[in-house]
Amino acid sequence: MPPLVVYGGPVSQPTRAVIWACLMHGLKHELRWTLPAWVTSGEWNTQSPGFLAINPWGTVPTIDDEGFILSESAAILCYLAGKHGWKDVYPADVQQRARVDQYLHWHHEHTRKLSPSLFFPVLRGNPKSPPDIETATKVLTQLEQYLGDKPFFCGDALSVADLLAYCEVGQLQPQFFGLWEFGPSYPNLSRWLAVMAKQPGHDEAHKGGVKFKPKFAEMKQKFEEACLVQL
Amino acid sequence: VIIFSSSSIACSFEIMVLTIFGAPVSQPTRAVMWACLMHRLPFEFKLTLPRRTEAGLGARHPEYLKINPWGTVPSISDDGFALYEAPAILCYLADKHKWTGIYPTDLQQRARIQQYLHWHHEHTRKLSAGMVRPILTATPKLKGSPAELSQTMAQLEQYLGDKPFFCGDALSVADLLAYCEVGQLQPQFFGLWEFGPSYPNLSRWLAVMAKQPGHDEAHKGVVKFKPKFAEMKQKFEEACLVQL
Repeated sequence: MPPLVVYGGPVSQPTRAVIWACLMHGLKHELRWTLPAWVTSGEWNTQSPGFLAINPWGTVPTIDDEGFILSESAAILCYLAGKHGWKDVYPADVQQRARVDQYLHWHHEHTRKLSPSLFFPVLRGNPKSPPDIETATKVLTQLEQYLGDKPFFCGDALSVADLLAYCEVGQLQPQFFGLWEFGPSYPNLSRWLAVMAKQPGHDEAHKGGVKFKPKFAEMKQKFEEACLVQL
Repeated sequence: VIIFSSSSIACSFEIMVLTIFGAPVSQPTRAVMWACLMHRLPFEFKLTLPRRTEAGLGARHPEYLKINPWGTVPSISDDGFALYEAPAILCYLADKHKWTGIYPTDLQQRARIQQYLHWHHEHTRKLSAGMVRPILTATPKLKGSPAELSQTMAQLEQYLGDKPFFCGDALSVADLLAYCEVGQLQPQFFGLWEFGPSYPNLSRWLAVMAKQPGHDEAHKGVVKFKPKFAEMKQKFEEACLVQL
C-alpha cells in the first residue's frame, strides 16, 4: 500500500493537479475516490462523517501522508514538492518561489472561477443557474495577460502554478469537456495548452476526464436544451 | 511618502530597499506592514488606493499597474523585485529575512500554514467582503447575509479550536492575515461584530494577538480612520433601511 493517500476524484480539478504532480515525478499514491455529495450518488462522499473526521472542511483534494493530513491543493503541491525534492516545479530560489506563490494565491479569485462559471452548471443541470460567460471571459482574458509571452505562468519553467491552472483551463478544450473555443483570441493560452498537453503525466492525469466525456456531453446537451426552454 | 521605523529615530539616511504599496484600510496591507514592524524591517510606505487613477496614489495608474497589473493592494517592490498577493509577500519576506518564527522551515509546519493561507481566500476574506467593503463603497447589495457571516465566524472558531494560534503553538503569518480580517471588527476598531461568549477561542486569540509586537503601530491607521468609518457606517445603515 503506497504511503500517500489522496482523497478526491478525477472530476475535481485541484485533485487532478495533485495526481498529475505525483505521476510526473513517479510518486506512488493511492487515490481514494471521494467527491462532493452533489456530484456523486455513492454512499461515501465529502460529507460522510468518516471523511469529515479526516478533513472537517469536507473538501478535496485532501492527503494522508503516513498520518499527516493536509487539505488545499496548493498547500499539498508545495508540501509534496518540498518533501520529495521537486525543485523543478517549486523552486528553491526565493524570488522564483515567490512568483509561484503569487500565482497560487491569485488563482483562487480568478482561475478557480472557471469551474463554477462553466463546468459546475452543467453538472448541476439547473437552468436557473446558467453558465456565467461574462465571468469566464473576464478570467480567460486575465489569464491570457498573466501568461503573456512567457513559456509558463511563472517564467521559463513549468511549475505547480501551471498544473493548477491547466486543470481549470485545459478541461474546457474540445478534447475534454468542450466548454470554450480558444482559437485566435487567445494566442498565449493556446500555445501554452499545447505545451502542457505534452508534459509527462498529462494523459494519465486526464484519463478520468476522458472517460467522463461522453456522459458529460449528454448532460451538456440536456442542460442546453433546458436553458433554451427557459428563454 | 511615509517612512515607518520601529526605532524612534527616523531612518532618513538608510536606503529603503523595501517599498510597500497599500492603504491602512486594506486588511492584507496591514498584515504585511505588521510582519515588517514586528521584525523591525524598515520600509517605505506608499499610500496606494484601489480604484483611483492619480499618479503617485492610484492603483489604476499606469506606473502602479507595471508593478501589479490587477490594480490590487498590497504590492511590494523589494530592491526592484515586484510582488503582489499578501500571503506570497509575507512568505517571501519571511524566507528572505529568515523570519522562521512566523514561517518555519519544518515541512509539515509550513504546510499547515500554507493550508490556512489558501483556505483564507474563500473563507476569512468573506468578512471584509461582506461587512467592511459594502460600507467603504456604500454598496448595500454587497452586504453579506447574517447567516453566511455567522457561518464564516463559526468556521474560524472551529479552525482555531483550543490551539494557541491558527497553525499550532506559535504565531505565524496565518495569524497576521486572519487577525487583520477578524480583529478589525472589534469595538475598538470598526465595531462590526460582537465576539463575547459565543466565540471563546477567537476572543482568547484576539486578546493575545493585540499584545504582539507591532500590533498597535500596524493598526494606527485604522484607529485614525475610525470616526470617519463610523460616519460612513451610519449613512450605510440608513441606506439599507431605506432599501427595505
